[in-house]
Amino acid sequence: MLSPQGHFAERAKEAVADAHLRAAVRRTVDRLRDLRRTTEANDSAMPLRREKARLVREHSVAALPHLLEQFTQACRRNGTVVHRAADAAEACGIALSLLRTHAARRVVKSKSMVTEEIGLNEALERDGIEVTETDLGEWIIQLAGERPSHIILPAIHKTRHDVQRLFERESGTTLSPDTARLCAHARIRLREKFLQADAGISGANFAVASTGSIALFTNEGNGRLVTTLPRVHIAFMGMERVVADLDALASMAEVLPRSATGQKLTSYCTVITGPRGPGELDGPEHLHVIIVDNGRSAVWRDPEFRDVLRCIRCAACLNVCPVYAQVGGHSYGGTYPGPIGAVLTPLLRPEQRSATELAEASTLCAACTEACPVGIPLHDMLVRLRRREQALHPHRVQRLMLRVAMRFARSAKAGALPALLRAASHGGTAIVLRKLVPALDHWQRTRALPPAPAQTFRALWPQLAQEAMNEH
Amino acid sequence: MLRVFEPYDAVVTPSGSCAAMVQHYETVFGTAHSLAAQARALAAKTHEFSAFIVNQLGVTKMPGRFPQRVTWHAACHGTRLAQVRNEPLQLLSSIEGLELVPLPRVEDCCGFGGAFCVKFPEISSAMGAEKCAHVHSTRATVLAGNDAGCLLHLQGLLARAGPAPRVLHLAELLDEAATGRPTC
Repeated sequence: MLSPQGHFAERAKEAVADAHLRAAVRRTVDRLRDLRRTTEANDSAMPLRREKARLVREHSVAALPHLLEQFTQACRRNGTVVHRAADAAEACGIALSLLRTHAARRVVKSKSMVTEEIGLNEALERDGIEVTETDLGEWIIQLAGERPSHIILPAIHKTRHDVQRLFERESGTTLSPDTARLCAHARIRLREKFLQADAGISGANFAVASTGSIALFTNEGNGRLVTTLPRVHIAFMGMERVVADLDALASMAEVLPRSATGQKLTSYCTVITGPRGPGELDGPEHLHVIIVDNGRSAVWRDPEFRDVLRCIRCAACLNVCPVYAQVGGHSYGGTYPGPIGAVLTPLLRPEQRSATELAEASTLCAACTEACPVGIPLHDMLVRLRRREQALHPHRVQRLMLRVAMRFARSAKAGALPALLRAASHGGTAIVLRKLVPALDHWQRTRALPPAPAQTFRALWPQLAQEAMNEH
Repeated sequence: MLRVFEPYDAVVTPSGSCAAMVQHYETVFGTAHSLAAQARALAAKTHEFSAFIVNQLGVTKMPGRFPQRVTWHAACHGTRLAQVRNEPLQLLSSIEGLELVPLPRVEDCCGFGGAFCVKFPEISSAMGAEKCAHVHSTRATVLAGNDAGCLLHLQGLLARAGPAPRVLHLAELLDEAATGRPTC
């Protein structure tokens, strides 16, 4: 996972000042959430589908050790080799040694967030291996030398003109900024890469324990080329991707695309059960699955946060998050942006101190919890993270300020608050007060203070209470 | 809080956020806490203002007149956590002369968020600016709401940016309709 430079607050401040970025993100997330809503509104079975998906994931996570064991045994029967990696370094190491064994120097990849998390591309490139991302959005950000800024739309922050420049630089040709032409160009360039590749690396949307299969839900078809053309296929999966059986998978196939893009199904639903069998005409000769832990076991053992492992990476929480819409994905500084990232990043990387501030980067509006199709209480988890952070590293200034505010509220004579408001609104005292209380300054830069009331509620209350009593 | 409100039959709060907080008190104390029973009791008798009028008093027709174009800010905690969605709209639409205009993207947070508004003032203000643009697009003369935090933030933003609709709490609006006296 990327170690972010600086803090969320600084990155977010820059992002908010970037009108171009904000407009691009706003346009896309609005489109996605409207698509999801339209699909859900027109589907009377949607509440049932969501409930089933929630139960499937709840069970998957509860039975995780058992399902992983079952999955591993089923894979063995199919001729798929399963590896377990405790952390990012081990996961990259396994892939490197497999590629060396098979003398693979050219790799094509389909979209996989877990390989972003472990920094696989950098590890392979350090070894001189040529890696090409073949999901269009992923290829764009690979060419830009960036990280995904959205879970399902990694290049959400790029315009077609940005893409034109990137493609021109890569190919040394002059291109039109027309979207269809840019896509056609990518198709031709990537087709060469598919044909030359020695190995294909994919993620796995889900793994099926009973059959030892991995499932890929994609829209571009690149996933099928990656997993069938090269002689070796290596699939990476986070250890929580597993579901019990094909029935459970069917539930995921319904709910993931509906929640992500409002599609009823993705264009391609691929279920891979073992490498090429005897007499079969296509498919890789070797199939390896690398199951990545990288902090997940610790989350699984934590009763306050285990449920976050239900996540199916649909990004519905990003698309409704009002903070994400303003700051974009890169502000979050990790692989997973938005509400799910604000919860997952500090849990997977507890040693990374700057990740804990992500829990603060929310108004707790709970739109994420409402959107989540598998019932993860994301905003509650943000509160739990804040509580945990306070217990570990108490914020002394904040506590002192709260104590002062409480004392003031308790003892405030009728006129104290209006007087303070008046003092903070105008003249010399206002300037002094603002210097002394940064929060006041932060408020006042864009917002007027409310007009001071002639009398406070507390001062009015005795008379109001008396009037109410008299009416009875 | 538990002690102060103990002797009363019902507790009414002007903010959905406060109602939601108290209604979730048990999870704050933990079910095993010695005060859990008291917390549960307070939660059960605490109501958001409009929910109290509609669901507890059974009153849905409001007196008076309010011949203005009004748009409603549905605060996140009131709707999503305290589950108060239709009650304020029911009360508003019952007032003679009042034209209720839907606010586009009504479900989006306004950016107040408690300490968030001063911890991340740029993000908070950007969210608020979007909300204000939606408010202006309705051409309403009054923005009404039932959450003091959101209203403070939105009123501050709107006032700073120039001519704007008045920002009223639902209670202020009802009072103005009933008495004909403007509250501010």
